[in-house]
Amino acid sequence: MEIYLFLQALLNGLLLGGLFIVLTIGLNLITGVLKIINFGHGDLIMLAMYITYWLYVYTAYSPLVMMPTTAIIMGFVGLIIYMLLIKPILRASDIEQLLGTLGLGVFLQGLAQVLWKSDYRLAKIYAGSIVIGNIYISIIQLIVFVISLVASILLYIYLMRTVKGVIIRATAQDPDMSSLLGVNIRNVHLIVFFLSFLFIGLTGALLLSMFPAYPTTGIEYGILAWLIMVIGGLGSVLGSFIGGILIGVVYSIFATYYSVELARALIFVAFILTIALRPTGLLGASARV
Amino acid sequence: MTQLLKRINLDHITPLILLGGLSILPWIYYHDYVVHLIILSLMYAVISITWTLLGLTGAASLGHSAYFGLGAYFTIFSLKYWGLVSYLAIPIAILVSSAVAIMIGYITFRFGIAGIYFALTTIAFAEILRELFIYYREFTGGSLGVFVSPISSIGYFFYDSKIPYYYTLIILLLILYIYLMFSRQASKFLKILSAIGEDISTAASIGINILKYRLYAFLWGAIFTSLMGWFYVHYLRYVTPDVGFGLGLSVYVALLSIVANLRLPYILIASLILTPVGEVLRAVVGYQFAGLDVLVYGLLLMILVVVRALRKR
Repeated sequence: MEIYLFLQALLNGLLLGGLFIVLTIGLNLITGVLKIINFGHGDLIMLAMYITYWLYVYTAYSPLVMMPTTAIIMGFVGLIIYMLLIKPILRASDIEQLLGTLGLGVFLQGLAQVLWKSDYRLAKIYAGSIVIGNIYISIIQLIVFVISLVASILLYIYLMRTVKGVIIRATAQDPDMSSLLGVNIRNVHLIVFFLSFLFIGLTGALLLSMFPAYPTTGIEYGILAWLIMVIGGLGSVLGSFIGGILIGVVYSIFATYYSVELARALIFVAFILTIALRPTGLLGASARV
Repeated sequence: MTQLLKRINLDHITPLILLGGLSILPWIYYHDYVVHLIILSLMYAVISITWTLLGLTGAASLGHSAYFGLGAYFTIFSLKYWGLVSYLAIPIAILVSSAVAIMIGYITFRFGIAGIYFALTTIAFAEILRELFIYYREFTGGSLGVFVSPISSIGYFFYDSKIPYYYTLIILLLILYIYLMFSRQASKFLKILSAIGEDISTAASIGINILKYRLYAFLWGAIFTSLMGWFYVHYLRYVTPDVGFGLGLSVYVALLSIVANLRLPYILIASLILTPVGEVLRAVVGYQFAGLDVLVYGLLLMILVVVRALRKR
């Protein structure tokens, strides 16, 4: 019995980790290539959740079916945000970027509350679960896990194997040098922003298929994404994979054996230890994508 | 005396005139809600002023609400469980939050955690405290928060009227402003903090002990913020983990400071304008457009940062 409980916790952690990867990857791209401190990430995910919900209400298709639409809408939202907010503050100091994007987050929270009220909006999909031995696997969690893993791996292949991907990585490493070699930095920024917001839209749709949307839900996701990114390594896509799975498993096991609050506190402690002892994260600098 | 006069300019006098005006306001015109709004504005001003001291050194703490929460919760513990009078709860609140501030400050500044990482670490600390305060729910009331029943007797800071609260804050702000603006010691302190903020390596090279001064600034923030936590509990008589340790308060005091362009005299003005606007928006159009105040704050923060960045180019 004991071993089943442990395996169940481990499995839940893995499934959660898959979601954490996709949650972090959009943030990671922006941070890695544009060197922008984006504190509005969580609230952008909240916006994506609401857009999915809105599509769900008007078309009656499930969040997972509407996922590509949400992703593309969010992609264009990303371009607008880049033009209006990010471009002017590209060369500002870290703190100013932080406060500006935080302002965006707070603005979106207010907007969501004005437009959609503070009620919980639920579009949860009930799909039962598979039972193997004494272990329950929720089907919807499994689907979400597979989608997020496939999307993340596709992004990884895109970055590593295509010419555009090489250009993006080169820009991340040395913007001035790439500019000298004829890379149009602005186009790279736009592509990265679009890609990153595709992932934000994807995350929003996936989250809505399991959790409710409400105006302040993004705060938690934003903080979580930042923690995972810092633990995995700033701007390292591979770091997101490892950080996401690691945090998911540790969180799930602690929440099973002790309590949810202590598990969350533990993640923050892990984060502070990472910053103090290994500021580059698990896969910083040397393994940067 | 002449030297003192030379250093005085309009900036220094504005908050004093404002506070003087506010102190005679209830004699001329009294309205409960107006006084309530001013009390809230003054409270946020105190927190924001002491937040700015660290902000001047180029470190933005976004976990500032942690001290507010610690001050508020330990005041309630002192009153409810330990049977202490209000005024004995002050040293407890201050000691606890100072201890936490020294710990956080030492860990962060010692390891050279700066900029964005500092902001994240302070958020992480506030979140850890929040989770712990929710976890020990038999003592803290969990996520619903905890109430305190007012006791009106000697040694307790509970009043039915708002006037004592109002004047307490005005006197506190007057002392704070007079000390920070006119004392030689404080003026040196502020100059050193700005020097660290402008160029940290130059400041270090001329022999300024960065760790020491950042810790001092951090400690100032912790002490006054926990004092405001103590005040809040006596004024509104409850606290929840979201009020005490949430991101909202931290972001709001940062916003006030940014609006005032990190200049101490203007923070009071910013708070006196923004806090009532926010509260009134919430109260008046809150029916149809709840969240409009949050929207306005966010928009303001974005516009300020973008305008600052554009002007610099």
